[in-house]
Amino acid sequence: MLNSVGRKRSSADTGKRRALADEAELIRRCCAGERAAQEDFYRRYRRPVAANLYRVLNDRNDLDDLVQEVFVIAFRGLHKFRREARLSTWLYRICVNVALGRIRTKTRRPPPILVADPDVHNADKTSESPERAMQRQQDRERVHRVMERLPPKKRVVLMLHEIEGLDLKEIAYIVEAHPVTVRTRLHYARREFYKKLAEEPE
Amino acid sequence: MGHVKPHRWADAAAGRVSESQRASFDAHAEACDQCAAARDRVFAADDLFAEMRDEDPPDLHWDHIGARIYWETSSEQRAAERAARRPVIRWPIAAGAVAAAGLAALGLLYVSGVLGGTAPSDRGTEIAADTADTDHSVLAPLRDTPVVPKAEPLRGIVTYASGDVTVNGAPLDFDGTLAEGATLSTGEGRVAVQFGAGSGFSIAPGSQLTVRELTDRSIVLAIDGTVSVDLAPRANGQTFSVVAGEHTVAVRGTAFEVDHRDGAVGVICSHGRVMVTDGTAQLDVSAGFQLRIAAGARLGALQPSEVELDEALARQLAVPMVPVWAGPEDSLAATSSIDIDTPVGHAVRVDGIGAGAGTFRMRVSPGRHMVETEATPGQWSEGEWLQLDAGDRKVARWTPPVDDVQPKRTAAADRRVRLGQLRNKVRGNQRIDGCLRSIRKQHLLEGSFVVLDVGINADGSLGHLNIASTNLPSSVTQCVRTVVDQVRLPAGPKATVREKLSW
Repeated sequence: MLNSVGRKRSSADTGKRRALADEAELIRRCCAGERAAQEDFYRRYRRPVAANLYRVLNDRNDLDDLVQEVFVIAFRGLHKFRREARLSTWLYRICVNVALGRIRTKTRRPPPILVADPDVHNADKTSESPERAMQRQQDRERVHRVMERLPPKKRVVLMLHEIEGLDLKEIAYIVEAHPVTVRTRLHYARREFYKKLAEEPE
Repeated sequence: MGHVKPHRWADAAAGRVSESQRASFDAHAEACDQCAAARDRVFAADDLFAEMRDEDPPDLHWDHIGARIYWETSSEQRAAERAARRPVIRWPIAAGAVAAAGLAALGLLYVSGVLGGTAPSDRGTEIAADTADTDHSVLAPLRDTPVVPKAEPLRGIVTYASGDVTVNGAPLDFDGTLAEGATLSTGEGRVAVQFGAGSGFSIAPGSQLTVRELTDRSIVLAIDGTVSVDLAPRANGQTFSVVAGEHTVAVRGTAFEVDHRDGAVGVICSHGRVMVTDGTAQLDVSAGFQLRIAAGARLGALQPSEVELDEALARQLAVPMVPVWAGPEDSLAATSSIDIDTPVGHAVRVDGIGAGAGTFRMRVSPGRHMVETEATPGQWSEGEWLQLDAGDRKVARWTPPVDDVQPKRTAAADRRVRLGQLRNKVRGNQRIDGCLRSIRKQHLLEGSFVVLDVGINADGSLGHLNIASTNLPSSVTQCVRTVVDQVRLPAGPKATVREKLSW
């Protein structure tokens, strides 16, 4: 039994090592300017990047441009990636910076005309009753409304913690702050968010 | 117990409170509607967070985004490569050199007594050492006056020419140089000019370009017609702009095309970024985007639209250049040229790269070059090797065997000619613009298109006109069709062409 557990752990470690080696090789080839590698990189990470940006911004407008911006920044800086975090976490950091930039410029512009996009949220909820679906939609809109009223830095740590499920160290790396700072920021972000959520009118 | 703080409900949902605390929270909520409502909302939000974690992102135009990323990164890479190839004039160093020369001259004058100094010659070394370290008043004017480098005139060389190109009304001299003030008219031909390492422009048929300024500080081209520009990154303080009527397209390192006909302007950017201005507003057009400005339209109301990948990539091939630039005279002396002589409509490639069609002359590096001609569509001739030394000029002639003369091939050439004429008439047409006014007002114009199938008669009238495909409303499509139907082309070959107009 012990042997079996040991074998499982060893095979998991081997898998992880292989994934890391594969990632390192991909980075090396991208840095060397190999078009195929860059395409592979883009295909591998485009959905997580888009999902992350979408979750932070809850805005489909210009999502194409933001995904492009993230990858251009990534390709520009890939040679500086020192592997102090996972590649996906490093990409998260870029996403967050791009999203923060977007939030800041967005506050200076008039809000866009929102177009209902029912396919995005309700694609696989067809078995729900219409009342339940409507309730969920209202909950979702309320959460996003409240999120958008949070200061950008608080919004980002809250999103990374509550939605992305990242731990304090990872969030600290992404937002380039000390873990203790992140813990404090998260504490106040949660208090503010849930307070506003409870007070939000129907 | 007081009210439960909303975030404590979130802690409870995450199991971060003790069982006894949770029980007291629940007991309070039983009696307090406000806390019960807050609990429900917080729990619902928690469920939602878990759902959002697993949600797929919206479906985007992944391939298009990928192409744009490639454009942007590859243009940066190209710019870096070019910057590494070309000699960089470092103005601070140049200014320092001028100042040092000035100092030396002043020192010399001082020592020789011209400035009123009567210093003995044996103190020369000491004075020189002083001037290097101390703030002598005689140096102050030099230090206060900024050293503005004088603009040095540049000259360009022709790297490609076909047809009846003229310069200031006289036939083009392929082996001469072009300077500020030159006006090039292409007629039915085409010409490409290089004026620096990795920098040049190519003028399409039916265009006229005036080189208003051509110095190492400023290059200004005025175009009436179509010009494609491929430009190495400018050094600080250097400017490059193309004037198209009221509009100016200003750039740094980039590749783009400006089309200015009948007052309408089109700008397509395939690398880098260009800035279009009409004096009142300015608009950035980045790689993979185009801007179409109808005659008289205000720039402030427009937005760039995406350009089709094939079209944008084709622009990158538009400016032939010699790989190593050593100034106009040295580049002329160090390169050679090939006269291509093939029947009209037969495409030619040199060293495997498409170089043009029909009869033209192009500049190449010395060495062995393979010239191939497209005998029939997709079928290339066996090819001819040409050995060229610096300064050589050789002719590559290809004549199709009499039996192989394909009427189909001629039809393709006719189609190309007719398509070009049709494009000139319909692209940027003000009346078509009028048809689109209603959907432009609704901001629905971007991304719309119409594909026309047009039969052109020998007298220039349209034989048939079909709308092959469109995403425009039927009333708008009908309006566009009516306008195109009234187009008259010059007499010429009969042909059927397909043209896509997109906005």
